Amino acid sequence: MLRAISLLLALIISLGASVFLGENPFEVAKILIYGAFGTPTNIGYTLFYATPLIFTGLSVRWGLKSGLFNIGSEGQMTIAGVFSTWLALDVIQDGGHIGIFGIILCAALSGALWGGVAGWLKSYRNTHEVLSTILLNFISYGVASYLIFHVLKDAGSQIPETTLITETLWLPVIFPEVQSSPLNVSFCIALFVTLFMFLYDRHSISSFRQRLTGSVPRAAQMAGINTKASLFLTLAISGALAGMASLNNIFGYVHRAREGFAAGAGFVGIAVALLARNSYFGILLSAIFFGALHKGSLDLDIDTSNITRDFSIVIQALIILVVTSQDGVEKFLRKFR
Amino acid sequence: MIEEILLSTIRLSIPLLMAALGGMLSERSGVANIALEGFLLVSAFLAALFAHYLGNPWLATLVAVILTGVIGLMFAAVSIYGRADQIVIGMAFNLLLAGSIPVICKSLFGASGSTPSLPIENRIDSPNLFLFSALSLFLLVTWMYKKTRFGLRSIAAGENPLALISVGVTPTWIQIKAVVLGAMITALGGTFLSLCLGSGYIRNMSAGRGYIALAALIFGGWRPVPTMLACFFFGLTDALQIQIQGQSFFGISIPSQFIQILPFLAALIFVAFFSKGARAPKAINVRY
Repeated sequence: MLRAISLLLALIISLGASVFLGENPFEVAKILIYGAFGTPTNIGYTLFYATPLIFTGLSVRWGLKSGLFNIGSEGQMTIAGVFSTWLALDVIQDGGHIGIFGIILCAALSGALWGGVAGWLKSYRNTHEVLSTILLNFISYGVASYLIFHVLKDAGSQIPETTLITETLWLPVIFPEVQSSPLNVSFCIALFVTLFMFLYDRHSISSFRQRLTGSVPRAAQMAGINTKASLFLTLAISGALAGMASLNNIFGYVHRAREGFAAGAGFVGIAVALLARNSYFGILLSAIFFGALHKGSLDLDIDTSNITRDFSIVIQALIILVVTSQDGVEKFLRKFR
Repeated sequence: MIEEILLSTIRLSIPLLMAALGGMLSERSGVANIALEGFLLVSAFLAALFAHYLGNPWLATLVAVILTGVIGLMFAAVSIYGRADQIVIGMAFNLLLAGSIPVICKSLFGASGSTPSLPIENRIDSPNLFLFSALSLFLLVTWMYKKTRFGLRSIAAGENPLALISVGVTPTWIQIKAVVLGAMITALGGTFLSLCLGSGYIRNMSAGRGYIALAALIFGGWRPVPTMLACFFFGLTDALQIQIQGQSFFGISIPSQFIQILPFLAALIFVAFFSKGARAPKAINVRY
């Protein structure tokens, strides 16, 4: 209940802020809601934008559950995207539809690799994961941009992008008869992975070990858990989840990798995870919420003169602030009772 | 060539020095601060904005420093009274600032996302002045930690806030002062970016310098002199990065993308493999 109130509060603050930009807040709200849910196609777009957020939300949440704050989802997603594009263009080329599984595996593994670097540094060099993942983000942008510019570049194209991936490796669009958005199979993969993570979290010893290592490291050590391996595994899994977030845009929509394709999804994942707190169903809902916000803001960019798409970042940040400081606000309110 | 590299090392170290010092004030008092990046960005923007409208760079610097201090105050209030994870709050502030600056910029100056270029008389064209203030601020802070009541109390707030409470001092108030002061010092770094190094604000101007400064702070073990040296070192990697772009070694030219990641790679490697015995303030990011 309190969370719903704080969500509303963040939205009201941001809509109020639009007054200062010379826009009518009711008009802004109308455009936001219609843009996100007005027609089947708009809903399709909302779910399309929500898809990577489900993955990155799961990724950030997996870290948080084990006491690690993975700010590197963005970088893990970037690396995974270019590596799997590389695989698709130079190795698989035309292996039929079965190649798709190779692509998904490659995305997950290269994300895990990049997250694993931070995990290794955390367990064996005691480097704080926040710092290492931030720095790895910047490094991944460089690596990705090198691969896109020099190795996989489409010679005929004016903008930095790779050549087109062969059509058999495209993730098909779903419900093309009722909506015309690029909503594709990766949304179904996201739902499946969410279910898988829910079961893995509830019913596996490995997940229990990771959580124990995160919350009471000493107890985990005493119980004979290899805490170093466990920290490594946590960030590798978190990275794998983030890595799969790259499928949606690359294999489901543009069918090639462009520079900056991650587009901040890794950072929105933080907001998704924090808003969802402890529920997997909540991850889906909050990913869809932020997907709607993204779609709505794109319309605001076009339909209003002063608001840019960056406005959605402002709302996300406000939501993080309001939601995370709930405990403090509750304590503050209790004083007056 | 050597001289050029040295000069540009000094120039590029200045924002790092300011941000690392700002971060030190905040972190040693027990408030984890990854919002340094956002503080640098917003102060660069504010300085350019007010220099454009007021036509006076000194006044613009003053306004930018004060307003960034206000933002620092909000950050401190949310991190301390909100009782949330300070790193999450810092990230949220970075997003908030990175998101709202382009929106404001667009409504004032149109689509470009940058402020109009400033004429030379509206800039502060003196890196030496900034370097001198950075170094004297370092001296001042070192002295503050050794000799002043506020300095000692802020170290205590970062190590053991309950001890402070037991002698009747409120640690939160000290932390708020330290964070605000830190934000204002960081703002000088941002001002340097837009009024001295550049000529106006351009989109995403801080380009990760706040995070590099944080790495320097950690590499320097939260102590003034080693942190200062680390800032110069990371400034050097940044200068080398600019210098070796487009040059070839023994007939091989390194792709610019790999050169651009040099400062980040150096920061990661040095923090991970060469920082010994660096100990974070004990009560950092702890709610009591």
